[in-house]
Amino acid sequence: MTCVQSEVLQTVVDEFANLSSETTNVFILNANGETMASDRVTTEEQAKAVFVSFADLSHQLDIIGGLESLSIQGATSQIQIATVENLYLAMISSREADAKIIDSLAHVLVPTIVKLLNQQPTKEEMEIPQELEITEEEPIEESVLPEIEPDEESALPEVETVEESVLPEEEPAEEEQEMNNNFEQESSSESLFPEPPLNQLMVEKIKGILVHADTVRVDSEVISKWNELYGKKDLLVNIQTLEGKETTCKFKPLKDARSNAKGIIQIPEKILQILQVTKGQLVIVSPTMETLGD
Amino acid sequence: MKQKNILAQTEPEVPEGAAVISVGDEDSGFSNLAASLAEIRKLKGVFGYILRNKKSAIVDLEEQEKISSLALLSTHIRESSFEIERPFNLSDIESVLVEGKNAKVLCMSLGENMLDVFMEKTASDASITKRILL
Repeated sequence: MTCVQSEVLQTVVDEFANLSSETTNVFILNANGETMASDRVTTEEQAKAVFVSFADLSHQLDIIGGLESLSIQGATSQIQIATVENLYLAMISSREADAKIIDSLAHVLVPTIVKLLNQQPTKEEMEIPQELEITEEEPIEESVLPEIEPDEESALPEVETVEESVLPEEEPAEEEQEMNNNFEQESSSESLFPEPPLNQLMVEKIKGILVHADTVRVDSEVISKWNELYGKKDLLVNIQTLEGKETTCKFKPLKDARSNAKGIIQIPEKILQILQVTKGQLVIVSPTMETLGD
Repeated sequence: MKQKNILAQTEPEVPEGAAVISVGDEDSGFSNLAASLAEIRKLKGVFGYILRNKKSAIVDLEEQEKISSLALLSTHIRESSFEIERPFNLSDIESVLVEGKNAKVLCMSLGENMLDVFMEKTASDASITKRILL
């Protein structure tokens, strides 16, 4: 595990205090018992004692398929230790701590982050993170969405619309023709962008710390349709809630490979707050070419 | 295969097929727990339990050949839990839940009585705990 990854884990551990104020100790150890991240309360001796006992116990548990997690409930406090890939996460909290939050932290948040960290590219590949961030959208779209050939483009409805509007009466008066041309010039930019289709999608929250706060992930089938309609333009997505809240942001195809992931839009926390929606609610999305405000 | 070896019959309600060891009079706490566990044993996903105190023990497990391994396992769990909690002064341990890839074990101490419930990962340990504490 690199220094960067260790720093990320430390950030996560630091955030635990905000997420669960009843948690008194949090630390993450690697397979050798070395502390990868820790709060400022836990001593090395405490962490080591936990590691030794946990590792010892894990050797005895072949009969139940090894040791994935351990939860000890005391009279006033509780300890949770979870195996997360090649790491051990230990949390000590009071019994008053919200079990759901503790469970989410130990079994969802940290495992997700660790998985993402393990998927990180090597040090050499990580030397251009800024560039990757800026151009992230395009390569993903290219890989997911089919190329549209120029010939195919001519068959698109938007072009047909333009052609229809370009066909005026056979011999119009010069003035009339000029007016028509002006009108066509004005309206052609609009007709190039046909009436945007509306899609109703179900909201899911994007979790994780490596999430772009200004980008949502949309069902790739929906994006394919938009691309068929508009080609590969710099589209944004307009999201509207049933309560009328609205925002425009960048989008990427949904990465989720689940078969039931159709009709889903994954939204980061910041945009969820703007829209005042939560997981499971429906929103109406449509493509737009509006520019984003600062 | 169910354990058929009944070592001694005692007064509390003991499920048919459970192994029972008793060297003295049962206390009511033990009897009540035995009754609760007999009901819990019928739940989907629960494949056995061990209840013991200084005088008596009841073992009801699906796989007879695993009795000693599972009994040893629960001892390891208790010892390791004690070692883990000691640096943090957790005081009395009420329960320990250990999850493996294939199964999970709930270990509880209620006074002198110690019980271990072995279950599939899908079984609800929370509802079982509640039921035991009722």
